[in-house]
Amino acid sequence: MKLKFIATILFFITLIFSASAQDLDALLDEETDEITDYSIATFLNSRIINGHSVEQMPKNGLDFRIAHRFGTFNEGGKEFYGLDESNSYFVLDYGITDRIMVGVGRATLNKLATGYLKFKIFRQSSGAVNFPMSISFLTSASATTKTYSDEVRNDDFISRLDYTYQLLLARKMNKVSVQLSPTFVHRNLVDTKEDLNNIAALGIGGRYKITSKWAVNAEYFYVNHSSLDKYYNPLSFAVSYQVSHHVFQILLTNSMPITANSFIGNTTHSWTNGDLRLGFNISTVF
Amino acid sequence: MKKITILVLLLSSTIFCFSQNLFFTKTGHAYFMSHTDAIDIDGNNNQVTSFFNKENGEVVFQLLIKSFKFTLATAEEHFNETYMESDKFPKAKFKGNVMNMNEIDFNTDGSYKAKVKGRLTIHGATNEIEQEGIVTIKDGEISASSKFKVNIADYKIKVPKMVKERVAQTVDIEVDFNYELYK
Repeated sequence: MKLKFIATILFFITLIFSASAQDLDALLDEETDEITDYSIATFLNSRIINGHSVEQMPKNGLDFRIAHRFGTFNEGGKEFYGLDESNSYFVLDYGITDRIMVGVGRATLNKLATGYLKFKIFRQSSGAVNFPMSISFLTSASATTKTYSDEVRNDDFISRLDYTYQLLLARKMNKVSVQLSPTFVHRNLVDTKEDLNNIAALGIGGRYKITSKWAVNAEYFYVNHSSLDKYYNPLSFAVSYQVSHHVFQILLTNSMPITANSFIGNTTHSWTNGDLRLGFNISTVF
Repeated sequence: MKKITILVLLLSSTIFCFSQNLFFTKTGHAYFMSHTDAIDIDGNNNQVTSFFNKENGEVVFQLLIKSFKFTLATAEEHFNETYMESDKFPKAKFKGNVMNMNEIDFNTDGSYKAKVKGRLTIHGATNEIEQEGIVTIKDGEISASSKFKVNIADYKIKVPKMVKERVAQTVDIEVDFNYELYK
């Protein structure tokens, strides 16, 4: 009787211990809190091709960017198929906080000086907090610093300013990311009476991630141009390669300008005429 | 009747004893450092969950890869997407035992060397490891820490050729836990 009794106790003790041993796994999962999983790297870079993406530098991150657009292929052998001509754009981007990025830039075309601010409003997330897309706001200003032949215009600084406002709405779905960019451009002075001071545009861009290093990007802006038939909607395709702190993009586009105020409002070449040009973007993050 | 009373008492004391022996934390800390001549990449995770059973020496911890915070601005994306593939392998986990429990006196303040043996899972790959840690008892509170090295090839973490000299083959890891009684 006594033996049986002790055996029963031992049995229960082992039972409890074996149960506790298995339970640690379950307890571990139970006590590991669900976190809010914010989408990262919706795009490889802070630009899709010409336009801004929802990506930006984290706090204290610095991005030095060089963009280059050549002339059109159909300029022929004499212009080395466009490669003799070029528009360069240098930009320094800096993350003041994880949500606020500022940048200054200089484009050779029209000797343009640019400055902008990008603000992250919402981040796409899953887990503890669910939100379907990332939303950022971009505001930028640019000044043409080239000398005009008209002296009156030369002295009128205000007339040299353009402003661009963009809402960037992006969603990452595994390897595919898409972005809509409703855009408003205001130009203080335009070339002719028929040109519009205010332009509305809708950008649609995306990328497909092939491997962790390679991606392809596409970007199109539908623009409500003036009645003048010399303006076209910009359409661009790019192959992106990321390694360490660098992103390289080689691209095909119909727009010579690179800054938002002018590639949206001032693209004067068309894919249908074969006015394509080669370009590249290089981003180096410090 | 008396016997049943004793049985119940004994059983309940075992259960009670068990609950007095299980310690845990949700705010454990893990740190890693990848040191190369080219660049140092390090990150901290302050949401490590760990359990420690004082009775049988069982110790487990688990963390979410995405909870790491980085000193270097761009490291998070590369760490999660390229190296750790944290969407595919969201957790890292250790499950093992303190082998020299008899050398640790939980009733006397002091620092004790602990020999820990178990299975470490990172990036979906599991390896048997044997490391030393330190168990510290102070005013009845238990804390534990360990520093060890992990060979990233053992855990099938691939590094692209072009950045080979920027990512260490052997990564230094530190973990520390301040335990409280699990109720």
